[in-house]
Amino acid sequence: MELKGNKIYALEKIPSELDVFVLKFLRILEKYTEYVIISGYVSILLGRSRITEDVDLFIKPLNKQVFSEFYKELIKNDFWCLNAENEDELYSYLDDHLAIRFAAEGTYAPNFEIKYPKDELDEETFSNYLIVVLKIGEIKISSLERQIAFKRYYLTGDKDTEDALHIEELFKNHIDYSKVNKYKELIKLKREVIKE
Amino acid sequence: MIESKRLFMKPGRDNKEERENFVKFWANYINSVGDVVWSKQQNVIINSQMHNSREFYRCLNKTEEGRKTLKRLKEQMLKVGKN
Repeated sequence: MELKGNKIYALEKIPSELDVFVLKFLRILEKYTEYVIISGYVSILLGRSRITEDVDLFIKPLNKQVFSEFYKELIKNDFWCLNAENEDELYSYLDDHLAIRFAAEGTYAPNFEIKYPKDELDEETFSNYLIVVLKIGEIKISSLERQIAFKRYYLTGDKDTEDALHIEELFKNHIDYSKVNKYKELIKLKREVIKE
Repeated sequence: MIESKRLFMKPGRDNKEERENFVKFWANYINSVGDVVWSKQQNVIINSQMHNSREFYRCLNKTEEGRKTLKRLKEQMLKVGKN
């Protein structure tokens, strides 16, 4: 695995069934909107030896017509939504900044949790992402510094702290800790806003 | 396969340290071998989860009782979405 500019090359990585499943979903999603994968799957994609039930993504807001086309294509390709079957209802969930989940038809996990960014800090994910290049396709993930900061200072569970540690160890000489600290401060502010 | 010097892991004093030591050990291992080597091992874990998940639902689908359970699960899931 090699980090060069905003790309991480993992061309020799043998894709897991999860990678193949993720790319199947992304190939549909990216026809309709932009996305960035956040949270657990990022560290797994970067080699962490653990499993996950869901793949979390931020997507850029869609209008109703585009969402309808996106939804129909997912259904045609054997996905189903775990939250509702009615398109209007699903669209309103997203609009209310709630996450909706899609899984392969007949299963519940793993699933894709998609949501719109809620604030400026979330939106910043789209201007500061990395591309992981696999031999079967490319996957956009949030920046290493953002991953570390959110895992360490926002999510804070054992699993999350270990994900952060994995990324720090793996990319030891590439992490910009001034950026991590900046995120840490912004997360602190975000927490205060949520409390109010 | 890229040959590498064998790495050893420092045991932790408690469960937390043990887990963290393994995370560091594994990350250093990834950096010391080619992607084919570590990904093959990681895939054993990930692919078995994918396999188990598929099998779970496939087995439920085989029987009338199982199909009823799946239907109930789906209805519950949709209800959670509505609430």
